[in-house]
Amino acid sequence: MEQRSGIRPDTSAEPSTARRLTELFARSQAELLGTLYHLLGNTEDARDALQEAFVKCWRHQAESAGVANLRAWVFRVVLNTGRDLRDSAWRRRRRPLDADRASLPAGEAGPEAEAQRQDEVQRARRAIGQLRAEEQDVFLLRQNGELTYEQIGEMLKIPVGTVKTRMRLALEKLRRALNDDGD
Amino acid sequence: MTLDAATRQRLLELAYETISEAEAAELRQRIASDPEVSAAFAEAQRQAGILASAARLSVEPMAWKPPDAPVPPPKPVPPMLANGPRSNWRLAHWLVGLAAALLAIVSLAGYGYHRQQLAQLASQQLRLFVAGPPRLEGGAPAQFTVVSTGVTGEPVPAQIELTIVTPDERPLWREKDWADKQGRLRSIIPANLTIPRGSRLLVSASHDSRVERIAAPLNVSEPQYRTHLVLDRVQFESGETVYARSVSLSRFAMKADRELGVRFELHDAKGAAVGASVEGLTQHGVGNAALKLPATAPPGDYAVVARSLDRSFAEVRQTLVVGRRSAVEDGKPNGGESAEPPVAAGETIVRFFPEGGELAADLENRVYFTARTAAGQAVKLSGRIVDSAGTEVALVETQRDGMGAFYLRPRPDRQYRLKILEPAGIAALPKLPPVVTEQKIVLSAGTGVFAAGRPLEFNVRAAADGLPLVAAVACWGVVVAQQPLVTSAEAGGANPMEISLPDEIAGVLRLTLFDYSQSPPEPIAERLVYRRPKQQISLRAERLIEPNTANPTSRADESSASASLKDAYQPGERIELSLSARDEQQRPVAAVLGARVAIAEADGGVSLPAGMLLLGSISHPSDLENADFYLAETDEASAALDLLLGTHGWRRFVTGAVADARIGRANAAPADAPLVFDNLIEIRDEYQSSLNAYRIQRSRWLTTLTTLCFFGGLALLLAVAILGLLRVVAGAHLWVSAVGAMLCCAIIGAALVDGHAARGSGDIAVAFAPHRAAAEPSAPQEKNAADDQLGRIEMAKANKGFRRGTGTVESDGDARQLAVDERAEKAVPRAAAGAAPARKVDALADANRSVGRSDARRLSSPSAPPAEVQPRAQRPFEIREYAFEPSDSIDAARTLLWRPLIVLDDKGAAKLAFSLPKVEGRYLIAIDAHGDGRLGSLRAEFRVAPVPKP
Repeated sequence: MEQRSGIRPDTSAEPSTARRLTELFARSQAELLGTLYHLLGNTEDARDALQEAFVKCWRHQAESAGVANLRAWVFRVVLNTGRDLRDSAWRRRRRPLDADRASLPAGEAGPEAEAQRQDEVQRARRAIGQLRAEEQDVFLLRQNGELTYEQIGEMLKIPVGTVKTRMRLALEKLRRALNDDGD
Repeated sequence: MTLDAATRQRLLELAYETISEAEAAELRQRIASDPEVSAAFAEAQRQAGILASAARLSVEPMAWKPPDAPVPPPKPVPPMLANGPRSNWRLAHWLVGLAAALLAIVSLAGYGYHRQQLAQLASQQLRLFVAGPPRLEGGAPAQFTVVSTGVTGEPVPAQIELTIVTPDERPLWREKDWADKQGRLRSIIPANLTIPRGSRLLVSASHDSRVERIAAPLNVSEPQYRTHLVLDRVQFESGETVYARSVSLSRFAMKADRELGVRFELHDAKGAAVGASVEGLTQHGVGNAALKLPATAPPGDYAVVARSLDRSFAEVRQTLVVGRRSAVEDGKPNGGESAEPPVAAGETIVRFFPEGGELAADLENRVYFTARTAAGQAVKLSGRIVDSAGTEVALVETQRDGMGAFYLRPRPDRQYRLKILEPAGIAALPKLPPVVTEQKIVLSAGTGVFAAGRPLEFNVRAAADGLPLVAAVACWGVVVAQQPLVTSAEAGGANPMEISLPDEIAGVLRLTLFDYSQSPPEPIAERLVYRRPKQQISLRAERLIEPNTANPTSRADESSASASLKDAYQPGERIELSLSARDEQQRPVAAVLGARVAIAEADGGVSLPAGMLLLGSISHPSDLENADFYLAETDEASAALDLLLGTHGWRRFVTGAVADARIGRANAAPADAPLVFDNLIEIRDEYQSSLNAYRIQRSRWLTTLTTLCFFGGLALLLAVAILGLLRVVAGAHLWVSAVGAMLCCAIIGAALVDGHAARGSGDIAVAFAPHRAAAEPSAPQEKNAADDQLGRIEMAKANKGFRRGTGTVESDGDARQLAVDERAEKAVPRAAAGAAPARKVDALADANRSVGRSDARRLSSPSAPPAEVQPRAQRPFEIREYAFEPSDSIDAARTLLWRPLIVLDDKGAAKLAFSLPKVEGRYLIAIDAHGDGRLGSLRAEFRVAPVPKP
């Protein structure tokens, strides 16, 4: 029977694209989830959004075939998904970052140094959350997405100079938060 | 760590590669050479790691399962997307934006060209509008208003030239000036210019290469004079002598610039002459006479009449009563302000006077009203205005002397009545005038009283757009200024107006709005206003103190007259007064005085300023018992004067039609309508022709261009839709550009196709119907005769009203005279409009050819009886003075002093002495002054009574 409405994703037919997508999401889960977490404010929403972003990417995998930088394309989808959910999710279910302390990445230093590091990470995470939205987007795309400033500018439709300015402003705020001396 | 924050910031930025390569190289060099910087960079990298950890979120690995829903088949990728979506999106936006901009620019350029062509066509036409007085009277400043605009009404600052040429085409007077930013020029022909009959006014306006000319015949007439007549008193006995004094001054400059021949006559109640008349030439404008009442003169009403021997002024008369004593000869002070009229016990007659004349529907009207008893006594009244549905719409209360005003916005389908609350017990509901739906404007003159030297500022509230109106200001029947107005119903219909007047124009002025949408123009609103004189004489009287005089010093002047009224003097005392006259700047002025000291009567005579400034224009001088009070420069006096003038609204003072405003409107002849010349009708046709030619010429290619733009916009819209449907490229920006270009092309195309929508002929300015004066050279003479007749009628009414005010009874003879006068009055407009037989007009024209404007001789009117043609008096009047001496009889003491002519010296000073009788009584010192265009008066009452010695 002729199938007119569409076809099931046949990973065998497109093994490279589906696999690349799955591998990318698995490999970059922490970065993707962190990006959504800072956009949405809590882990639960971030997980939902990431799952939704994966589905979007999966359904549009055909379009990604011609895309040179798959990671940038995925981050773009993730960022748009997070933005779409941000307004509603932000007010409804935002929880303080401290509630997600358990999700902090573990370090390899001793207990005392590890405690100090966890404290700094917490401060940095709060500081990231307090960045202006446009600074936050640039920082997360650069930090987690590992995108070049040119790619970020193209994605956000702003000049590269503006991207770097936002990045500098974000770094200054974050550095002050880490130093905790307000210099 | 001693490194500064800026360096640490730069090191962190180095870790994130946000700094330039040059700066990065420098920093790396410092890191390599400086251990402290190296340590700081290590710290920055550590912080970058912290930030990386903070940016990530490490949780247990998620399961990435493919969704169950079918995945849509891969779309064919268009070639333009092969290089990435971003570049194609930009390309599409550029293409659509360029196409939209191109279409919009072409459309706008076409529209701009069209506008420029229209403006050029309009600029080829120069509209010239001229308005001026229908008659130029000698001594009166004549103001012409010239307006230059384009055919669409936009002001054009053209160069205006006005020239008066004599009948032999000799230029007599010329003024050349530029119109202001509003395209207006106000030109005043000097009052002292002698203009021969048959002269013409030529007006030309030039702008760029366009020149428009208008020629207007001028109606000129000789200078006219105002005359004020006063007697030594009102009450007389048979056999007594009546002293009369007249002051004749030029109407506008109010100067005695020429001595006039005056004849005084004494008439009985039937109008028959009693005794011999006295005539002579005035001195300093003053005429005087001593007229002897016969010993057998029966009791009744008499009148002293002053007539001009050369018809330079309208006949004036002053009534007197023989044989009856005034009821208020003693006791009641004269000239008091009766702010609280008595409450009427009987019938109350309420009359309403909408400001301007008629009650206009759906506009806010100010309605003046009077409340009087059947006997004419003022009534204090309050009540409510209710409509036919019983709804209360306004509160009403008299404010002074039975007069008041209220505001009302009437509806066209309602009838309004007054429900009287006080006095109580009045069941009648007086009706307001009917609401006139055809009346589209309301004249609102604010306070109605304007300060000296200030322009008349008023408002024309309009319910309709585009009414061509001319507001004319007339003084003594002579139009002295005018201003055109095209009404606008926007902003609540308010159309503020301001008319500047020469300084010498003062007193009661008639403000009339004429509708020039038709010819002849129709007066549609009118009211009286008052403008205070800029110059005046302040009189001061001080009693000279004799040595060892026991009585205190008496001092009287205008500002402290009331204090003098309470002074009492010993019977038989001799009083010497020092008089001084000052102008408005307190400089001495060599004025001419007339002084009388006589028994105080209820009607003590109107002062010279009140007589000159108020009386000539008030139809019911009985309302002016306190005439001098109205001239006081106080808010109370201004408000009272406004009420007084407001109750003399719609041409009632001219036609006498008081029952129905519409009757007054129908009878009102536009003899005093300003001349209007407007070439708009001619240039409008020319403009229409050129506009049509332009449309035909431009239609071929401009319509093609418009059509191409329209379909181009449509094609662009279609292209965007197709791109979106094919998923090639889509976005709101594309649609905004395409729809914007499409709308722009459609609107501009529609405007270009329909010229009316783009400033075509629909925007041509409103035209004023031309109005010209009677063409016959003799028309002014006819008009002057009519005016004189009208002046006599007004004066007759004035004196009749005065007699009513004193409570005396009219005689049958006067009533008949008035009836005759009113018949003559009805004939006045026709005569003025040139309706007299042509033969008579020709005869007057022949007679007038040798009469210049400077020649003061007046020709007789065809309607005037031949007996009224009098030779000019050759000799000045003999000055008849009188001073009471204590040895005279008691009756003779009713007049203590009569000095009709006192000429002050350069210091403005003179002395006056008189003796008091030996009987008690209340007396009035009345002094009038005039000089150099100024008027003044002094009134002071005193009592003769024994003063108890301390």
